[in-house]
Amino acid sequence: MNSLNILSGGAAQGLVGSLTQAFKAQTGFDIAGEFGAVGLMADKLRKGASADIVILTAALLARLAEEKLVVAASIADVGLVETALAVRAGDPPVTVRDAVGLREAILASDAVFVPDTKASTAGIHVANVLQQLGISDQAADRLRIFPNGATAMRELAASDARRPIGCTQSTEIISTKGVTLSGSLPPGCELATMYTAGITTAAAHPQQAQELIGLLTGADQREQRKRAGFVS
Amino acid sequence: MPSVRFRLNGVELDVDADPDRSLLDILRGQLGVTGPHFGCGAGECGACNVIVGDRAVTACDTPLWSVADKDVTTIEGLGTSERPHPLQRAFIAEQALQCGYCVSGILMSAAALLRRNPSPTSREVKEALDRNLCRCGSHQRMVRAVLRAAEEMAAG
Repeated sequence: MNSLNILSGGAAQGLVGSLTQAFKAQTGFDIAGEFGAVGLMADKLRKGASADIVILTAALLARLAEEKLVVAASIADVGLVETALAVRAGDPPVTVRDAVGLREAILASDAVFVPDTKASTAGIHVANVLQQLGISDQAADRLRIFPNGATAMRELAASDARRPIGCTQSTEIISTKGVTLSGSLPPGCELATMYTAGITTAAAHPQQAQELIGLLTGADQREQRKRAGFVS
Repeated sequence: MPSVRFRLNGVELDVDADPDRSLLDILRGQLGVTGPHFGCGAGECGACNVIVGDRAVTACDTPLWSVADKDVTTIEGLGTSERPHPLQRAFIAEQALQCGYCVSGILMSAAALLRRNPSPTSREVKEALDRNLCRCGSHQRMVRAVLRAAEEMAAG
C-alpha cells in the first residue's frame, strides 16, 4: 500500500494517529514517517529526508517556506498547544498557581522528565523557564532529557523516582499511557505554540498531503483536536 | 487536462491547466490578471505576492495545485481606483513608491499583515516586508504608509 511520508513535531503525533483510519478510508494511503523534536525534524528535511508533509511550529514552517522546502500556499494552522506539567498516573497532581509554586514543585521533585532542551519546543522552553526562575544549576542534576516529549513521558511513566514530574506539550502527555496531565504552566511561565502543517516542495503525493491537511484542520475534527490536547 | 478550482478575488473559478504550473503564470497568462508582477521568478523578490488564505505568498513559485479550494487575493481584489484600499491611499499620501514595479506585491504583504495584526509596530511592518525587494529604496516611506493605513483602519 502507498504511504504518505510525514515529518512532525511530537505534539501532533496523537492527533495524526487518531486520524489515520479516516485518512486511509479517504485516500487508500497509510501514514508513515517520524515524530520528534521540531528542530530535528526540520533539519532532517533540510538534509534531504523524503517527506510529503511536515507539521511543525508556525515559525519553523515559515522559515522552511522561505528556504523553498515547503510550499507556502499549502501552510495551514492546525492549532495551539500548551506546554504543561505531567505526573505518573496515580501520583498526586502538581498544582502550580504561580512562578514561585513552579519553582517549589521543581525543587521538590527528584526527577524532571523533559524533551530535548535544544531542539524541541517544550524542552527549549523548560530550559528558559529554569533560567527565569534562577534554578538552572540546582535543577540540572534532576533533569532527565530525552530526544522527544513522547519518550520523556514514557520514561516518566516507567520511572521509579520518589517524586518525578514531567514537562512537555500537553498533546504528548495526553497521548501517553501511564502519565496524567497536571495542569498548565503558571502565568509568566506559560507557553502556547501554534502548530502548522505544510506540503513539501518535493512531495511525491501532494494531493494526499492536502487531504491530510484538510482532516487535520477541518471543522469536523474540532472535537478530535480538543481531545488530543489542542486548545484551539 | 485537470481542473483546479479556487476563488480569485471572491469569484469561484475552475481553471483547466497543468496543476504544476505556477500560479503567477496562470494569473497573468490564462486569466489576464496582471497585477502580480514577474520579478525574479524564484520566489525571492516578492513582486508577484498574492494572498492565499491569510498569508502572502510568492505566486511565481506557488504551484497551481496548492491553491485548490482556497481564496486567492491579488491587488485587483484589494481596492479600485474609485474605492482604493486604505493601504493604497496611504501609499499615495506618503509618496511611498517610485517606479512602482514592486508595489503590488508589497501591498499584498502589508494587507496580509494587517489582516493578522491590525495594529503592527514599525518593527513588525519591517519584518512583514522583509522578503519584498524595492530597488528604488522606498522602504522607509512604505513602512510609514503601512502604519498610517493601520491607524486609518483602526479609526474606522
